[in-house]
Formats: sequence, C-alpha cells, structure tokens
Amino acid sequence: MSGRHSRGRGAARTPVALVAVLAALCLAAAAAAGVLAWNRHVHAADERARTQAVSAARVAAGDILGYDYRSVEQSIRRARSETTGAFRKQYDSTASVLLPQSKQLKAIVQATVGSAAVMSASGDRVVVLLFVDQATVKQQPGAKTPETRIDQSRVRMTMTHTGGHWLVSELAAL
Amino acid sequence: MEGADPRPVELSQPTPTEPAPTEPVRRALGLVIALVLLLLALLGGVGWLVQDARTVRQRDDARQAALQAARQQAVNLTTISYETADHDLARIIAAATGTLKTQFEAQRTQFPTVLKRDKSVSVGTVLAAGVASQSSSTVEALVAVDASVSNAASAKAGSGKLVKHYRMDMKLIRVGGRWLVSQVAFAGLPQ
Repeated sequence: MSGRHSRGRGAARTPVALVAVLAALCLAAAAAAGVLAWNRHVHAADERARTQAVSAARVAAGDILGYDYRSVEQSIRRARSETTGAFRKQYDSTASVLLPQSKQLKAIVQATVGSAAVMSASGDRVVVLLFVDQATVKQQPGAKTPETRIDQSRVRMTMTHTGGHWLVSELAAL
Repeated sequence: MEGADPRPVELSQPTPTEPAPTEPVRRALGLVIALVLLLLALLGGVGWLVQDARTVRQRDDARQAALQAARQQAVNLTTISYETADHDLARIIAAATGTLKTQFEAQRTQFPTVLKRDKSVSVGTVLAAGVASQSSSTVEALVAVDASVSNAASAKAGSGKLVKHYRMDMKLIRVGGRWLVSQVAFAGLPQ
C-alpha cells in the first residue's frame, strides 16, 4: 500500500514539476519572441520610412524649388502643403517675396530631381540628400530677351512623418 | 496487516479507484505534451526571428560600411596635391575596383606630371552622404563634396583658392569583406 501510494504521489509530483518547468520555458521563449518581433516591427517601419520619405522628398523638392509665374499662386499653395514646422514659416516668408518677384521677372523655374539618397532614418524623421537641377528662364523688366541659367544644386531635406504624410521640416542647399 | 488492509478497499470500490489515479496522470501527460509542442513552436519562432535580426543587422552594418567607404573615396578623389601625387593616386586605386580602378591605373603615369606642371592642390571635404539603394553586395551612394582648389594659374592671378562643388554618384561593390568603389559619376560638372 505504502509503495503504491508513494509511487502514485511521485508520479503526480513529477508532472507538476515538469509542467511548471515547461510553462516557465514557454513563458521565457514567448518573451524572447515578443522582444524580437517588436524589434523586427520597428526595423520594418524604419525601412518603410526610408522609401516613403525619399519619394515624398523627390516630389516636394520639385514643387518647392520649381514654379511658373503664370501659376505661381497654385505652385506656392501646393509646395506649402508639403511643408511643416519651422520650414513652413520659412517657406511662407520666401513665398511672400517670390509671389510678386516671379511675376515681375516672368520667371519659370523647373526643378528636376536627379538622384536621391537617405542620409539617416529613424522612426518618423528621415534626412534625404538630393541632387537637383534648376533650369530658370526669366526676363528683367525692360530687357528684350529672357535669360536662362541652370543651377546644379545639392539639397538636404529633413522629412518628418506627421498626420500620415511625409513633410519637409527642413531644407538646405549645400 | 499491511498487505491485508488495502485489499477490502480495493475490492469494495474497484471501479472508481482504478481510473482515478490514471485520469490525472493522463491529463498531466497531455498537458506536458502540449507544453512541449508549444515550447518547440516558440523556439522555432525565436530561432527564425534571431536569424532574421542577424540579417537585418548585417544589412545595416553593410550600409554604414559602404557609406563610410564612399565618403573616404570622395575625399581621396578630391584631395590631391602635386607634391604627393603618387601617394594620392595610389590611395584612390587602393579603394577602387572595376572601371574606376582601371581609369586611375591608366592615368597613373601622366597624371602626376600634369599635377606637377600646374602645381595643383585640391583639398576635399564631404558635406553630406547618403545611400540611394542597396543590395547584398552592391550599394549606390551619393556624396556632396566641396574642394578647395589652387594651382599655378590661380596663384598668378592672385585669386587664391577656388571652391568647387561636386555631386558624386558612386557604385560600390563588396569585395572580400571590404567595400570598394567601382564607378563614380559626377552628376554634372563641378560648380
């Protein structure tokens, strides 16, 4: 009887210990998987940010750095919608000069974005380097012929993710 | 006494006591098997995630290493002095492969002569660099470089140093753990 009893208790104790150990191991593995999955998620978001920010930067560079005096109000409105934060204020003051000046000079500026690259990317902030060619046609008041010029510039743009959009929060010509 | 004691108990209740000890054991065994299977599945998942994280880290490291190599080669390409021309060209060739290497190896003999004749000195600084695209063994990088240039003609004219603005589009290839520049396209003439 005592032999049977102890064997029965032992058999019951072994699974309890085993179950506890297995459950603990499962918890540890689940925790490890959770941490790794979270890191993977964060990294995947960074990768997505890179591609999205670069394509938004290309479009914004063309819109901000190019305009046609015949539709300059529309150009400014579109460009402004692609800006945010401190750069929006900066753009507004630039636009207030640009608006009368572009009409006076009959200026047409076409900005073509050549290559674009990511300088750094983290979460909702991506810094992009762009090679932009600006072709300008303008006519000084009283001049008989318009003058043309091409500027090859290097532009650094900081893109910030706000409200589901990648917007320009800083722009610098290097 | 001990041997005789359990017998009536077993005999009086044969049916309820017989399955009673086996039922929890069977249940416990089922639980153990389920936990083992769950643990194996979780470990499989962890293994896969670890492998994936390693790939991601290698990709990040490769991006940083290639970008660093691109920056260095951009400096090499714009930091050339007539006084150290041989050394400066050797440095470019050491960090180059493919087309770029062939180009500079071909110019290795005449280039120093031209530099010495013009007494040209150029010192480059990287303003910005970024990665345009990346695959497992290739990277395309953009580098914005300014070079302060002086030569015999500028010295005679008294204009001193002239700053040239470069836009470089580089292709890099991983060769035996090192990133080497195989092509440099100057996006437009230096301004």
